[in-house]
Amino acid sequence: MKLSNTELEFLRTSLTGTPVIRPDSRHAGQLRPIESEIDILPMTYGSARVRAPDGSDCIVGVKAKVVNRHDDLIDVSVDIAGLKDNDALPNSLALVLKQVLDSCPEITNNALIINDKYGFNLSVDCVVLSYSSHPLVILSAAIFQALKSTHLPKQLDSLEMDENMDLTKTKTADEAEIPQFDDDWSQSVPLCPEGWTPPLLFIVSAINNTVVIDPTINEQLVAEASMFFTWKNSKVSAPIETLNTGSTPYLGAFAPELLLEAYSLVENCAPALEQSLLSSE
Amino acid sequence: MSSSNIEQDFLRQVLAEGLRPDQRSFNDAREIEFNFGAEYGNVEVKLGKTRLVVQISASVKAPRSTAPFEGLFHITTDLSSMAHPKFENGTSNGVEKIMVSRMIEKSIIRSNALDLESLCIVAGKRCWMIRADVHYLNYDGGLVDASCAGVIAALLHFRLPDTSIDGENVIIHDISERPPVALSVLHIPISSTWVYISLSKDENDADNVGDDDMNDSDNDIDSNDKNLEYGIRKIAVLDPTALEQEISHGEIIITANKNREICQITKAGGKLLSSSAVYNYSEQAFDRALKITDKIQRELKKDFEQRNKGNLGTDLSKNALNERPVE
Amino acid sequence: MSRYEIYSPEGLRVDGRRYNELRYFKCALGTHAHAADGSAMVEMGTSQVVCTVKGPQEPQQRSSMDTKKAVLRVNVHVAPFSSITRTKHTSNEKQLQELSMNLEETFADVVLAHLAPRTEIIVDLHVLAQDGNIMAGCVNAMCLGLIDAGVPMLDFIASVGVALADSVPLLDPNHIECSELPNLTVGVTGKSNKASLVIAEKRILLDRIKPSLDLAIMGCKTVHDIMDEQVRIRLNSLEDRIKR
Repeated sequence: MKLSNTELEFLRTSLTGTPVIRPDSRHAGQLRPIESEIDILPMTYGSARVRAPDGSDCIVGVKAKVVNRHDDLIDVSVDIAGLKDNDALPNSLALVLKQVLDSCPEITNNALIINDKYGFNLSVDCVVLSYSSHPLVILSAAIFQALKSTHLPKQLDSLEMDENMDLTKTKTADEAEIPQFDDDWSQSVPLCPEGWTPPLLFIVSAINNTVVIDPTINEQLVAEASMFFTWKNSKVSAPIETLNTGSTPYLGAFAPELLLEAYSLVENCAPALEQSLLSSE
Repeated sequence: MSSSNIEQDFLRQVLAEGLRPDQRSFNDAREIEFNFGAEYGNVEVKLGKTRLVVQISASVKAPRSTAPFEGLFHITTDLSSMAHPKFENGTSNGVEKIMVSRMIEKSIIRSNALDLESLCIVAGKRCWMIRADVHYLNYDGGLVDASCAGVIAALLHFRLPDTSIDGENVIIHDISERPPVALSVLHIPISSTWVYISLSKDENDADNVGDDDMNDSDNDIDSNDKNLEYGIRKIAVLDPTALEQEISHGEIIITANKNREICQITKAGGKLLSSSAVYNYSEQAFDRALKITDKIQRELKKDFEQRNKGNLGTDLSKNALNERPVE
Repeated sequence: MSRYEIYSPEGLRVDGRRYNELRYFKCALGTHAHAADGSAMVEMGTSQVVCTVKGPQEPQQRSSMDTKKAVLRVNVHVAPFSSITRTKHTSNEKQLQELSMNLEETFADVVLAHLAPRTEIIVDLHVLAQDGNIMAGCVNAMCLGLIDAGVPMLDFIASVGVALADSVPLLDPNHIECSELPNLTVGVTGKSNKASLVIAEKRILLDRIKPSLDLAIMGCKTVHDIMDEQVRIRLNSLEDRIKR
């Protein structure tokens, strides 16, 4: 739905005034409520579905397979209903999300590497059923939930197996390294280490000299610039990048003081979101 | 591009009287003709005004790693504006194009008409790749029926050069050296297409929409007159012409072979059919398959008799391996 | 040779069902109420299909407009994680295109498109988990999605698959039965006991067609009843909301 110039101007004035008035009565640093479910797909190792009040809805499924450990360990794909496969948005989202997950040694180094030769390849596949504002935020929440619910089969200890085998027979190096897994799914181990939480992403938009977090589609229309922030290990961390939300033909920039303000907005609301996502399990 | 309203109305009127413009009855197909070319695996098919040429070619390739014992078989269809202006590239008429190539694929490849394992030369290393190229010269409906019959006739006509293995090397024997071998075709799938045409609402029937119209007799094909659905009279027409195809809504395509096997049924929309009606259609498709199979085999026999007149076994001047430029 | 005993002499299938038993069938309407005008979810065993319907609305492209009736457009998305081994599907795969074309044609008969000329109805089907043939799940989900969107329709189309183990037709086959046996998918309109959709693949003996179809039509009837019940539940919940 396109807004008229008058409506846009009204929105801009109310957002830049003091106090900031947002159309859905949130304050500048307040996120929209989201709803999530986990373990919804029987064919995956972990899955989640997240919905936002504007009708955005996405489903994430995680699957793993054993590969050579020097191959890429994490794959991310994003499929958005209504957009073609070669569209820029899903591809750029997949790249950003892969970058974020690749920079989590807690997953890549600790959980995915089986031994010197083999590792798990984790495929994180996102399906966006519908969206109206930028789908990055709900996607990151869905990936958060899906990774938290992901379990990998328990690796059988090679020593344990050896007891039953003929010890006199020497095994070739290759043979010793082929990992064996427990068939019992109740023995499976969680992907995420105890106490560690996957990263979350937040979008902050700047309108004149105010910043608002988690903008709606209309707020993005009047924003001069938008950026996304990564929240990882209880602090704001890389990547932090400007985002083209399509409101302006060029990529807008944040003034330094706005950047600091945006930074603190994320710092304020991220722990709460993280907590509520964790408690929903 | 499309026909005029007057033409369409006329056709509907004629059909409502139980006639077809080309004097066929609703359940009559046009005569199908096969003309085999000079080269092996070349056949021209005529179905009424629909004309197409199929050319089979073979080359040696590495098999897929997932199926090391199987050869490769591809069918390409080239439905361009040469056949009919409506197939012009880039227009939205992709539906019929995709449907035709999918139907041929389902009827011939998926039903295992060509024994892929017989195309293996050295397991995992070398196999024959058979390509069937279908070129459409003129379009007047019945694309699926004509192409299926054309591809299978061409496969039966094709001869593959004999091969032998000498240690590591594969030797492909020239046709003058050893007689070429026929492809191992396991069965002959023949497709039949019916389209459904809704005739204008009958004034008398419009009132009793949802009445007992749906419980009419099962012998659909035979009693076309009493077929009402939600007050609309629908008829089924075998082997439609281009115009009949254009005014139709929904179709049923059945592929059968002479072993009384149904290789494929595709029916989406059109008319509601009871299980015995589907059976009736299948039975008819089977009858037509018998006739066309017989015809293909007769024509093939005739062609090979012609070829072998000199009693040399094969025509030495022709090379069985139809060269294709390297892609 | 098959690794599985598809149909035991005692009359049991790989998953312990009898020949005429459906898998657990669950469906719901309005599952994505904020995301689209109509939505539905269908689970058949472990298969799961989500449908969202947008429209009738103004066409995004003028060229795809029909001045006499609404244009029905179906997109089928198969999620990469839907099968046992992960496979990425692209929307221009011929098989998916054929599937969406078949769905469009099937529903063209029951959707009263002439009531909303110059509009389009976009149906997005998301296959989230596939166990066996996806066609039946897509038909059921699309039917409920269209009903939830309030698109005027003549009747339901309920669909179910059948696989043939020699002479025994097996209702609602799972993926093992589907990959080993010839199978067909049947869609039945309303209570007519007649098929509006028949898709068969691989070779089936002609004389087995009728018993298989009869079994499938019977299965569709059960599916129709379950869907009908869910539609009524949804309707009542909407009514309650209006009264309040």
